[in-house]
Amino acid sequence: MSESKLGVYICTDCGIGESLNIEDLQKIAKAQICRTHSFLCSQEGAQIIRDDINNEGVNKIVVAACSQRVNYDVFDYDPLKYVTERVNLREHVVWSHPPNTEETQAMAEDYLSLGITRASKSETPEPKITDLNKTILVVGGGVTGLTAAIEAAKAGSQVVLVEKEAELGGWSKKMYKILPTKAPFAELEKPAIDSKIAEAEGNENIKIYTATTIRKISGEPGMYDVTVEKGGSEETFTIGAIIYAIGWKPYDASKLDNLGYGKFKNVVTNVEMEEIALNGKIARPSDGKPAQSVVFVQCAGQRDEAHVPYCSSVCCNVSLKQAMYVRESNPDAGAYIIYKDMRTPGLYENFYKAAQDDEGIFLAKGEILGIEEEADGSLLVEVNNLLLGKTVRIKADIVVLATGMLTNMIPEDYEVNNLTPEYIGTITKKETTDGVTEELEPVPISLNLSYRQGPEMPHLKYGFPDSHFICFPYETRRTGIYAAGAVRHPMDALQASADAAGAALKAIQCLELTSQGKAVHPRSGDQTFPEFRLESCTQCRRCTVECPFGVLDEDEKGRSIHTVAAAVVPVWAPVLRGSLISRITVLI
Amino acid sequence: MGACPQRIINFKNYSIDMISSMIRSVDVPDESDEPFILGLICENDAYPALDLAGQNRVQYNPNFRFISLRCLGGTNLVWIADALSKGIDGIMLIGCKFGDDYQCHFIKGSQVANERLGKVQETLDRLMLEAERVQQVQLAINEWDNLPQILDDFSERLKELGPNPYKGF
Repeated sequence: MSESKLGVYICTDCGIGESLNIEDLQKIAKAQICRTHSFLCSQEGAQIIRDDINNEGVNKIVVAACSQRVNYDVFDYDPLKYVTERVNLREHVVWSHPPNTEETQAMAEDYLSLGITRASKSETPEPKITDLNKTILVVGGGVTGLTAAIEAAKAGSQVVLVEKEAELGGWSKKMYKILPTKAPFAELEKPAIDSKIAEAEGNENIKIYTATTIRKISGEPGMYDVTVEKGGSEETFTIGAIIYAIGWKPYDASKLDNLGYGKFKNVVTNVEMEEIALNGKIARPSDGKPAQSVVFVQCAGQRDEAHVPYCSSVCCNVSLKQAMYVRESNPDAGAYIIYKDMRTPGLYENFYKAAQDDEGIFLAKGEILGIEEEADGSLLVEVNNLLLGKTVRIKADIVVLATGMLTNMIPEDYEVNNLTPEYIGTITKKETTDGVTEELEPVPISLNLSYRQGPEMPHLKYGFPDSHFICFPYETRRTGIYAAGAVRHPMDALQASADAAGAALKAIQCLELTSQGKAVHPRSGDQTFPEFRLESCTQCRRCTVECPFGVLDEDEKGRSIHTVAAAVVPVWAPVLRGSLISRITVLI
Repeated sequence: MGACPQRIINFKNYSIDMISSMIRSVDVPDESDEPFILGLICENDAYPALDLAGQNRVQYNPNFRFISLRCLGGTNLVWIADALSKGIDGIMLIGCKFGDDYQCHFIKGSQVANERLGKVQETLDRLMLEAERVQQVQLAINEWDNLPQILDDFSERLKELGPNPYKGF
């Protein structure tokens, strides 16, 4: 910054003038320009600051008035040219302390002095404007991935979509009918996934790879190098941001030991029930007899610490849907839904009512006490019916277990209720000179990131990639990578489509901000960038290990570099890996 | 910024030296009945909570001086040393909640600060100062009404410990 000139501006409105000795306060400013005004945030007040900027060369502005969280549009001076410091005399001093006392005056004088020191030690940022690759990679070709790709392409981005199966569409391709997607949200609809697949395939801005997995991703937002593998051969390309939409898988019902799955042929999961429906008729698996009576067991292995500790939010709606299949297939049939609670989150109240109005669908709150098989294959379900207050036994042709949704971030052989903290992996014991230590070894799953902290997204609970749930639900802990759909928590296709659009927006926003040298989150728009005085680096790696966003890595000499200048603030934008390494070599 | 013991990481408008200078420019009373306390507050939850206290005209202890940080995670332990050598009686870090239901806007900032404070005990012991002079408090923006009590409780505790022996040096 060129020669700095500081100006102090004290507002005496909002009680400040009445509660403080302004003259004494002004003495704190010593040799600086110091002006007072009775209404500093007015046009006239703001003008005195502008006049000093234009005529006196003031380039560090200390505004002693209200909180920095208000009037930031009034005291808005180009942050690339001027340092602005807000001293809070209002909320933090005169509004919370008695007027005209020695202590209150001492507070105000100290705060002004602190503010002046802060401004004096501040410099204006030099933003890193860079040319980036703005292509978006979508990982996963189900309803979420396809929607994200289509939305991003419509917004003008180039998209690359990678799907590990040979066919696009994911779970939506295996649905007989889908939950209502338009008002009044009362009737089942035909799946629309085929038209979505056609739209994505027909869009010239979307390049699709099927039967392809990701071998490696290295780099940072704006310049990720992705290596994919298809049928034995590899290809590498560059992209800017990633949408992570790898979806879900059902909980393994064979782990549920008291519901007869695996023992009795006619006990199936909700996923298998959908397959039965696709065959045309609702018939029981053991002998093909059309189902006269079907019992749905809700929360099968869910809201249960021993299996899936959470509620998957979708299965109640799915059972209502499948109960309607039963009724449609055989108007004389009865469908019995036994639930802990009936949960139809979203816009599905009318849908729930339509099911209740059907004279063949029976809903009861109860616990399953036992399931037995009869000689002919039909099942006898004993239920403690909490609404009736007594035990009932229902004879069923099919029992459908409403099992839960797990995120695909959980690899085969890992338990959803017993994952290692933060990074999914294994704890290994290592022999060191200090004794035996335990270390977490994260396992690669689908992204294979070359990040020092781990190859996959950090999770908070149950394998779901961590987003800041309260403040920034659409972010993740890796800037540039946006999780969408059931990978991040159980949801239905309608919510997943909205999620996908949100992730596409975030991905585009990330690239735009990064190219302008601005932080993405939490301090959106911040153009400062951390500077490392590498001559004094002792390679202790504390910064590398502690960064919550995994932004730092090491060079060959063990010194920290922000190659993965991913993120959020404080570190956000790409610093060209090549130029920084050469700088390190020069310093040695 | 907080992690590096060599203090090599800084920003153009936010640096370790800046906060150290601010701490040194505080006018610490040589003698007083009331403990004089430095508060390091995060700009995301703690600063707004203080704002809300002011907006609701809630009155609190005037012997605190608050310096706002981007995140408690950037707290460098050198600031604790700076404050104590100025004769400040105690230091309170106020920031977002951490843990399973975390609110820290930087995900783990306040958690990292909490772990780092564990390392400061040794330094304090060597200076013959009580570890309790440094405390961290988790405060959500909607808990502003607890502020007066939190500040007074800490002040009371410091009264029991007595004034900083380095005062006036």
